[in-house]
Order: sequence, then structure tokens, then C-alpha cells
Amino acid sequence: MRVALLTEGARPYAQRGGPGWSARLAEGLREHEFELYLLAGPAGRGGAADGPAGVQGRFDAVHELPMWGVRPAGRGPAALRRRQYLRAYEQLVRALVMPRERGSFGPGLYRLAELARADGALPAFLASGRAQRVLERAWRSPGADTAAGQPMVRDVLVAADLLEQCLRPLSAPWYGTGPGGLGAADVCHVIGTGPAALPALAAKQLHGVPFVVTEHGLHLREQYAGYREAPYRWPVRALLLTFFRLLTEETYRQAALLTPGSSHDQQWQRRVGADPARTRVVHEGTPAVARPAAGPEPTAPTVVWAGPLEPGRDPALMLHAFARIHAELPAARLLVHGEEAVPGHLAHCEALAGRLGLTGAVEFAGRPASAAEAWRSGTVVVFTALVQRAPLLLADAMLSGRAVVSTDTGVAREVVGPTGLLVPPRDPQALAGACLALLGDEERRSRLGLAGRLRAQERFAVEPVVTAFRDIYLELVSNWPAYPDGRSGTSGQRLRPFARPAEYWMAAGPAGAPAGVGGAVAEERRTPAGAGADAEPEAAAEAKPEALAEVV
Amino acid sequence: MAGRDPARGATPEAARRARGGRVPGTRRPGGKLPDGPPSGGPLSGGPVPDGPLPGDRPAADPPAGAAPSGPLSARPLTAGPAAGEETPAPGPGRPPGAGGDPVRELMARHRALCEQAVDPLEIAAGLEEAGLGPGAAARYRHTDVFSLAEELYARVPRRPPDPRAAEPGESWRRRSGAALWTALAAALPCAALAAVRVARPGPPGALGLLAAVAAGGWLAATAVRALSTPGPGRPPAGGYGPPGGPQNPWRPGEAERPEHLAGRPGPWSVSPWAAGPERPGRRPRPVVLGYGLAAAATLLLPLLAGSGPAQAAMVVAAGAALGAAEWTARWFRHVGRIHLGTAATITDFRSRLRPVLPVAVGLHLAVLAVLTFAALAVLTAVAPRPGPPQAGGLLHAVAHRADAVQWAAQGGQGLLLLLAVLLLHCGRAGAAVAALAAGSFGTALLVLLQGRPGLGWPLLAEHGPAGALLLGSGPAVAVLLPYAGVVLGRPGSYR
Repeated sequence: MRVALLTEGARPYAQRGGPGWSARLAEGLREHEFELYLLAGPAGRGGAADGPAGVQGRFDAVHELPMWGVRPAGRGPAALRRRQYLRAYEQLVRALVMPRERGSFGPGLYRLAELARADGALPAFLASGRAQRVLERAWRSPGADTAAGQPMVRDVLVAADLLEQCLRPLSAPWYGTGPGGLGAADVCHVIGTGPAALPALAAKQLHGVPFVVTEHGLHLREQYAGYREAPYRWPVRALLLTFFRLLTEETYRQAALLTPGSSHDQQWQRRVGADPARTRVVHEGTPAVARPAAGPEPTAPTVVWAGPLEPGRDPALMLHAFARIHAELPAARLLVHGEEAVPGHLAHCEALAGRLGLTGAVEFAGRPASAAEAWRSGTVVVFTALVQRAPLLLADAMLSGRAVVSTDTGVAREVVGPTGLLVPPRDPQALAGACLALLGDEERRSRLGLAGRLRAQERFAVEPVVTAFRDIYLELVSNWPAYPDGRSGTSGQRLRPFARPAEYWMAAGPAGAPAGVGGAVAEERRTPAGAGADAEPEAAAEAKPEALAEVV
Repeated sequence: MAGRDPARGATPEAARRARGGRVPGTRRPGGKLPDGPPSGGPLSGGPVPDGPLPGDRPAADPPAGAAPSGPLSARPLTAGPAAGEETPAPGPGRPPGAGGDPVRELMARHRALCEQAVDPLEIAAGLEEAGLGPGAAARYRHTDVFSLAEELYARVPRRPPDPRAAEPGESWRRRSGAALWTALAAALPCAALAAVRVARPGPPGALGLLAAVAAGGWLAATAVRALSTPGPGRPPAGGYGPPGGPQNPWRPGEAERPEHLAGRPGPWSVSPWAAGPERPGRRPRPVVLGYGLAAAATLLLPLLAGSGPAQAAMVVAAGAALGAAEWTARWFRHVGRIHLGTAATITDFRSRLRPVLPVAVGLHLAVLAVLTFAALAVLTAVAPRPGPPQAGGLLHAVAHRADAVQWAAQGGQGLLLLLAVLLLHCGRAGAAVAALAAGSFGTALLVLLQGRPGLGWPLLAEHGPAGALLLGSGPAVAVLLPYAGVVLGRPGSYR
């Protein structure tokens, strides 16, 4: 089976979905072909040490599209096609600014995708003055949502620029059924939504390839947080966030299956419109499950806090709680691991510790050699973040076998469950109480630690992820007609393994095919390659070995 | 809540909330929420306390304004500790608002977030980041954070944030300094080559060609250097980037990865939209080098072709006028950026900018005329024309040093250079280089063809290199001027 992995990542940094997550998946499913389609940062940013070059070996091919930054060179559309472009773009833009016309987002997007696939003139068109005027006209027309301000000229420029960058994947040279084309893939696997989902949406529309969406940390939520601190005016923020929201809704609507990384993310997805029946939580696997448990506890009762030092992680709460612990248990120590993420926050925490009279008992240890090292140095591990979006840091701590105390935010409840103590956020009294209870009870500590380790090993192992996706891919392909539109399959192309599901050849039609497609498939069955309906299984049997040889 | 009948005069918001759904009626002009106590409801036994009424809340409750769970946008990013952080809020064992409308306090705490939200989901994300989970939402009588956020979105009217301080434009001093430097850097090699040519008249020999190449190289190098240094006058090459995208390598979710225990992996202080170190376009680009070479050719060609001290003096003046062109172009861009910040529509912007180009052209031509006149005056004072002294004094003598064709050629060349510099500063480097190259190529061709029989154009035959310059740069200007008029009226040229 050919799986196209679509993801977004800046070259020097890890891809969305975690470093090597997709590489681990490809490693585990060696029976399938994986091709990586990467929306990379602008070319020339840093080295490719951690990027595709490092993981190249695990994929059969890596296709890269420079996103963001300078617009790629290219000419705009010819005069006749330009009118079609303008009409499609206006449809898209009106969906963004008119609350009543949200429904035209999908049609506009797919029309643009078709046009861009044909001549690749989309980026130049979007940057042209005509496109800007279309945007301005739609934006300033009556009925547009400008609750907090009318757009000005500069907003039009900025928004047109941002839209051009976001829509760049539509003009990627990835479509078509040739080698390297998304049309030749059996399944698309999108990791993280946003622009990375655009090629999958277009491939589904153009070639009928189903796609599955994996999200570890919601792209849409990150956009809401990121744009709040962006220097754009309100209309630009509103336009772009609406774009991301509509894009995400369309992605969830079109996706064959959604696999969020946690139930916390699943709630968000449901809120944005995901169908719970097509959602399956697949926890993010970590290779740390193979690590042995941390050794014996340190002699002095030690509380470990780990994470980047920033207000959102609330190290101040830890310090306030530790002041109470220290009053009860003067031998207790606090180890704070992590570097400052917001300039000056370390000094702020140190000053706070000094004011609380904890100077001797608190140690700011900086970055630990490894996460395991950090957990080993403590008796109890504490997390005080105001919100915990990703489960892996918690899971890593649980894997050490130390007892965990965490604030009850985000994913903490589902990750820690009954194997640790959860306290409300911003409550030093409760946190101190929980820590004291654990510090004073060795039996409970070890019991909770062991239970947590087992729980994390069960939920965050790599193997279940691989198994889950093996099943998901097969299920998807078996339920999906290869050529739902009946266009691509009739041209006497070479047949590929899994290009048609087994049910297609055996039964009257795919069992779980969506309604409305079955008719097209049944009709198509009679025609492919000019063969009669009865001769078809034989034709397939002949074609298959040949195709297999081609693959090998 | 269910027992509170709106008809009996309880808090209107609370009553509407009890019925469920949004509260559209609470949007008031001016964005203020009703602060006064609502009409007392007989059922609730007096006015429902809303807002921070100190007597009504336990002492441990943090003041609403200084609560540490303020909106993230107001979160201090620097070392300054938030006032509330010293005394964290007490636990959630008790409903946050003791009165009938607990959401009001939350609204006050997250006012900026709610006012500027584009979507209830944005408020939900902000509330979650402030530490509110499903449990806290239940205390506000909502099933989850999302419906709480929807209520906040409905109750707080949208209000645009305070306008940011305008981006400081280019200062007068900086612009003048750059113009002076350009003038010097262009006039010096022109003067040097002019001196060589005046000392050795006739067809340029090896020394003349060498001097021309050296002067041209110097001109090109200074142009490249001036255009490659960053400054507010430079058009950004990278455009605008979305935050949170891969340009900003840090994404919130990754704070919680074990391998990122150590802060943020990227340069946190450098935001993606600021002019960061990775912004492309700071390197000298080939087109800038092309501009330098073409400008040098346009300036120096008349010297190579021409003869006579008057022509040499005019070339030096043209070189100095390049500084004026630089000043004018920077001023033009400055004006364009100001209008870009304030114009409402593209049409409005266009009409505002329409008179600016004629003003710039007139300004430049006036300065060019003054400089040329001054150069000729110096020449006349230093080396008067051989022959009997003419009547009318210096003014008259200067006027007779150059004829009308020479003046017209000077004007045409100056205009060509000005338009090229303008286009270069407004992001149309390709057009600028093409125009300059076409002008200088035409001039060179005409100079070479000058002596040929059959090319009996009187302008060329009688006026020599000045005629060639006029015929070469004139058409280029005629094409470039309308083009510049269109292109420089586009708002996209001033980013």
C-alpha cells in the first residue's frame, strides 16, 4: 500500500507531531510504502541536519515544498483563466468574511485547487492587484463581519500576503497519478491540520484518495494562541482565524478518520465539528517505555519540578506550595529543572524563593542531562502548569516509576488517572497537602509510582500506535472505492495492488462505501479496460502479479 | 437560577442566561458594561452583587484586576512579577462569584481577551491557558469551557484594541545623510574621470578606458553597499509571516515534550514578524549589482563619448544629482508608507498618491538644474572660455556654456536616473535596471553610429554626445514615466 504522509515542519526543527513520530510509524509498518510530503520552512533556513536528510532512509521518497517567506517565482494566469481564478477566489473570500456564506468555502477552495493544478499560477495570482481588489471589495461589502473595525489598505495587503502563503500547497507539483503524485497513493495521512491538510483535501477532490488526520496538539488552537500576540490588526486576525477554522472544519468533514492524541484534543475536535463516529484516540507512542525505572529514591525527601520556566507552567505555584512543605518538613528539598523560556523568569523565580525564605532548600538545576536524570533525582515529581496540552512529558515522568502530582488541567486527568494525585491549579495549599501526603508515606508512593509506570507503558508504547495504524490503513482502503468518480480508472492504466479493494472484485460493491458512490462504482465495474463484468476477476488476477513485480 | 423569573426584576443578564443561549442585548455602545447595581429583584433579596464589591466576598479572594489568571496578552513577558503571582488565588472550593452572576468577575478578568476575540473558540483557548478546566466551568454553571466561552463572547462587545504606535518612518536626518553620501560617492568618480578626459581629450585611450572602468566599478560597489544595508527604507523581501507557523519554531504543545525540558528551542526573543536575522533579502542581490552597473554606464557614457569641459562639468553635476534622486526616492517611499497606514481603500490610496510623483519629478529637476548651473558657474570661474570676454557677466557666460540640447539631455538623463531609483526603492528593481540598461545601451549605440554616413540626424550630427544622450534616454523616460505612474500608485509597492 502506498501511504502519503503529509506534514508541516521547519527544516531545522522537528516536524509537527513530534520528532520522528512519522519515521517511527514508517519503521513499524515496513510492509507499506511511505512517501513524506513536507511543507518546509523557507529554503536556506539553517541546516537540514534534523530534517528530511536525517529521516530520508525510512521513507521511500521525500517531497518538499517551501512554505512561508518569499513567494515562488512564476507568472500569473492568462487573461481567460484569470476570470475563473477571480470567481473562485471571490467565493473563498466571501466565505471568510460573510458569516452567511460560510458554505462556499469548500467549493471555492476546490475550484482554486483545480485551477492551480492545471497551470500553477496561483501564487502569482494571489499576489496580484486584482486579487487584492477582490479581497477588498468582499471585505468592505455590506454584510461582512467587521465587528471590531473596518479593514484598511494595509490589512488587505497583509491578509492577501498571508492567504497566499497559506494556500501555497494548492500549487504544489504533487497532484496527478504519476510517480510521486498524491493520486497514486492509496491513503493520505495528514499529521497536524492547517496547510498540511490542503494537499490531502485537494487529492481527495481530484483523485478520490481518502485521508486520515492525526493531531497531537490542535493546529487551530495554536493559531488562536499565536495570532493573539501577532502584530496584525483585528480584521486580519479575524479573516485568517476564520480561514483556519473553516479549513479545519472542512478537513474534519472530509477526513475518513480522525486520530487525536488525547481525549482533550478530541473534545476540541468535536467542538469544531468532527464526527465522533469517525474519531479514534491514538496516544502518541514514545520509545521511553523501554527505559528501566528510576533507581532508589534520594535520601533527602526531594520534590522535582521540571519544565520550561514561564508563567504558563506556573513555577511560582510550586514555590508557594513548597514554602508550606518546607514549614512542615524542614528536610525537604526542591529541585527545579529547566531553562527559562521567557527572559527574566528564572531571576523572578529565584527572587520569589528568596522572599519565601527558601534559598537553601531550592535548587535551580537548569537543563538536566536527560529527562530520566531529572526524574531520578526526586522523590515526588510535580507538574503545576496552568494547562497541559501534550501528554508526553507527564507520561515520561510516570515511566520513571516516581509518584506524580499534577494540576488537574488539560490532559492530566486522562494521562495520570488514578495513578497520581491531581490538585486544582493555582492552589498552593492543596498542592502542598498532596506532596506532604506522598512524602510521608513511602508505601503509597511506591504503589502509585509503579501503577503509573504500568499505565504509561500500556498507553504510550510505540507498538499500539503501529498496530492501530496498520488496522486503520487497511480498514480505510477496504472501505474506499479506488476511483469514486469513475474518471481515473477507465483509462486502461496499469492496475496496482490495493488500487481496488478486495470487496470490489469479490462482491457487488464495497461494503462500507459511502452512499451515493456505490452507484458510480457499480457502473464503473462494467467498463474498466473495456472488459466485461464477468471477465473482470480474471483480468485482475492477470494484472496483479505484473503490478507487484513493478513494485518490487 | 431557574426560580428567578425575569419578569420579577432579577438581573437581566442572569435571567437571560438562565433561559440559556446568548445575550445579544448586552452589547452596549461604547463597549462598557453596566456597572451600576441592577434593579433589585425581590426574589434575590436586593441587588445582585456584581463587580468587585469588597464586603461581599471573602478576604482571601484576589482583587479582580490583579488576579494572576489575567489574559495572556496582559501577561508580563519580562521579569516583572505579576502582582497576583505573589499570592496565588485560593482554591476552587468555593464558587468564584459569591453573588448571582459569577461570570461577571471572569468577564472583568479576561476583558481584553473577550473584547478582541474573533470567535468563541479563541476565548475558550485563552481560558484554558489561564487554567480553567471543565471543573472550573462547572462552577460558572456551564457544562464545559466552550459554552462558558460562548457566553463571554456574547456578553462582551467586540472592541478594537488601542491602535499601536505607528511604525516610525525614516527620519529626515537619516534620509539626508544617505542622500549626501550617495551624492559624494557618485560625484567623486565622475569628477575623477572628467579630469582624466579633460586632460587627455580625443578618443579615450587605454588610460581613459581604465579610469572609466575604475569609476564604474566604484559607482556600482557603492550602490550595492548602500542598497544592501538594512533600513526602514528597504522593502521587506520576506513579506509577512503567520505566527505559530513554522517560521516561529516554537509551538505551545512542544513545551510539554520531554526533549524540550530546556526552554524553547528557537530564538524566543526574535519574533517571526520582526526583522529577524533570518530574513532573506539582506544579501546583495544580483539585480542590485545590475542596477549599480547600469547607473554607472548611464552616468559615465557621455564622458567617454563627449569632449569639452562643459560636458565634463555637467556629468559631475549629474553625479551629484544622484544624491538628490536618492533623497527624493526615500521621501517618496516615506510619504507612501504614511498613506499606506492611513488610507481606507485602494482607490483612496491611489488618489492620495497621484500628486506625489509630479512633485517628486519637479523637485528633482529643480535640484538638478541648480547643480548643473553651479557646476557650469564653477567651470566658468575657473576656466573661462577662450576668446574675448563677453558682456553680461558670469550669469550670461554660464548660460552660454551649454546649449538647449545639452540642457535637455541633462534633464532626460536625470529623469531616467530618478525614475530608476524610485522604482528600485519601491520593489521594482527589475524594471529599474531594464530602463537604465536600455537608456545607456541606446546612448552607446548612437555614439558609436555618430560618425557613420547615412545617419544624417541633425540632432546627432550637430550636438554630438549630448544629442545621443537625449535620443537614448528620451524614449526610455517616455516609456518609464507612465509605467512609474501606474506602479507607484499601487499600495503593494510600499511594503
